[in-house]
Amino acid sequence: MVGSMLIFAIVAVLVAAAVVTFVLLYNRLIKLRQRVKAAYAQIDVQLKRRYDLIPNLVESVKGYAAHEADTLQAVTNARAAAVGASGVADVAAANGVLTNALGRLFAVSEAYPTLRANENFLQLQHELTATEDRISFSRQHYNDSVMEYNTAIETFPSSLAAGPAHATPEVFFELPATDVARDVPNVRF
Amino acid sequence: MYAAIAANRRRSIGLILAGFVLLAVVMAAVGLVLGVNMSLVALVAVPVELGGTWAAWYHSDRLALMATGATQITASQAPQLYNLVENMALSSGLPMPKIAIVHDEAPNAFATGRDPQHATIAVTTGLLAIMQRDELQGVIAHEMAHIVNQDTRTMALVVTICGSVALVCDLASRMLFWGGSRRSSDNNPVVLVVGIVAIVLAPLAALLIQAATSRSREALADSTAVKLTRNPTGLRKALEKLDANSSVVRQTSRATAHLWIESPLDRRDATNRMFDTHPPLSQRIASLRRMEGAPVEAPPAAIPAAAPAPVPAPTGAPAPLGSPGTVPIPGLPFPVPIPGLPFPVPIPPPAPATADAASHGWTQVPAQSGSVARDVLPR
Repeated sequence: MVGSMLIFAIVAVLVAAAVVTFVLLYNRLIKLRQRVKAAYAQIDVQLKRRYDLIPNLVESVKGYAAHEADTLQAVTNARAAAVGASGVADVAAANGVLTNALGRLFAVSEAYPTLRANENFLQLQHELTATEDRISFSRQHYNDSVMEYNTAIETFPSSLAAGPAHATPEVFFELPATDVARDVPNVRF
Repeated sequence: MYAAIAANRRRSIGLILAGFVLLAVVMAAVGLVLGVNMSLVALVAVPVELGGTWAAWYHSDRLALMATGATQITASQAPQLYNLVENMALSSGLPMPKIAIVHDEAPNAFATGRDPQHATIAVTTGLLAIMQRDELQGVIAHEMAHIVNQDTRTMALVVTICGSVALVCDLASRMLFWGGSRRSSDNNPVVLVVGIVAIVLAPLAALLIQAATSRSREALADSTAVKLTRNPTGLRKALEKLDANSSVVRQTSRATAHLWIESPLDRRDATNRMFDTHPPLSQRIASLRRMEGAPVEAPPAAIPAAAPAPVPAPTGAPAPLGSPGTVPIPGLPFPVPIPGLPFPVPIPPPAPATADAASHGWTQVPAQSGSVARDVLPR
């Protein structure tokens, strides 16, 4: 009688421990996923800011550098593509293209001294640069968060809770680096 | 690098546990010597301490800012500084901390606040005057790292434990002095002597633990700072500049020493490094150099210039724009002038490590003034 009570108590404790462990693992995965979502929202805010600045920039360049219609059109197209993109991978790729187009625009703007002297242009260039800085730091935090989340999904024991938590790996925010190296003229601002 | 952070965290936990053990030993020793029931003393002391700690922790930011004479600033007052702090807030995923400036010639910085939601980063005007953008970014990242790692909380805990040890010992020695030990006169004399020795030495041990914890948090903050910026070079160059600069923050005391990025106390009396709140700068610079040898990831560059090939920078000379490991900021003057503050003043470059030494993974680092040169070897 005493023996069976003891066995029952041991089993009960083990079951309770297993349940508690599972709940902790489950909650950890949910927390990591929330962090990934918050980190992406942070990038999104900066990207929106970038999209808002570009039309003004294009307008201010138009008045000075009418010959650069192709470069301006490339920026406008790249912006439209980035605004229309959905999904982390597509948004990242579209923004890589946009970064290249902007880089070319700033490169050709070097040839127009009056444009370089324009207060409005300089202000926009400064703000865009600061925004791109913020994007890259937000991207870094997002990628860190994704790595931690994806590692938790794939490693034991947190992988046990991945199924019940409907946790699937997230995508890194990666810029097409090779493209940049090939296309952008090596200009130091 | 993640391993380094984990190891450092374990060491901090170990040190806090050592503090608790020390407190228990002291309590037992006092009990033995005086023959007093220590639970009675603890009953009074513990609530008082807890109350005091809570108040210190809750108002830590305001206390630290008042003690150092820092004034809070807004984004429009120092846009470049704000921008650097904002970048670090983004890369750590934490809310934007408040920014404060200490009007002091000595270059230094500190972080305070009970949690990331109530954090403040303070820098001196001297720091803003001599640091270039990437160096200032490194310093800000170090301070942000203290907020990320919640070092203010850890240090509050450690300071309290060590404070209680000192308090109990003080109480006990007073009771001994005034003849409170008469009740235990029939005790074993060996126990009595051991107990008295423990009471005398314990406050020293407490100080050691406090200093060691602070040192390990500093080393951890350096690692975390590199994780935030992906750029060990900026912080390394900043520390080298601090090493070369001998001025000392005026508006400070031992009470706030553990807050600063560089020990604010006069370094000429550094007779015993065990009581220092900071690891020697040379050691921190050396470990950052090791990180430069094996960077974790390409530095974040908004518009990547030439592919950065991370190699250890040969000297402490100002790096050109787009140099290895730095973030090229197109369209910004470099170094960035902070409005209302003096322009960067030239700083004699710190003694360079020879290229040969760097390639062997060790660096001869000039020691601080007054002591002998040491070789800093990788562990």
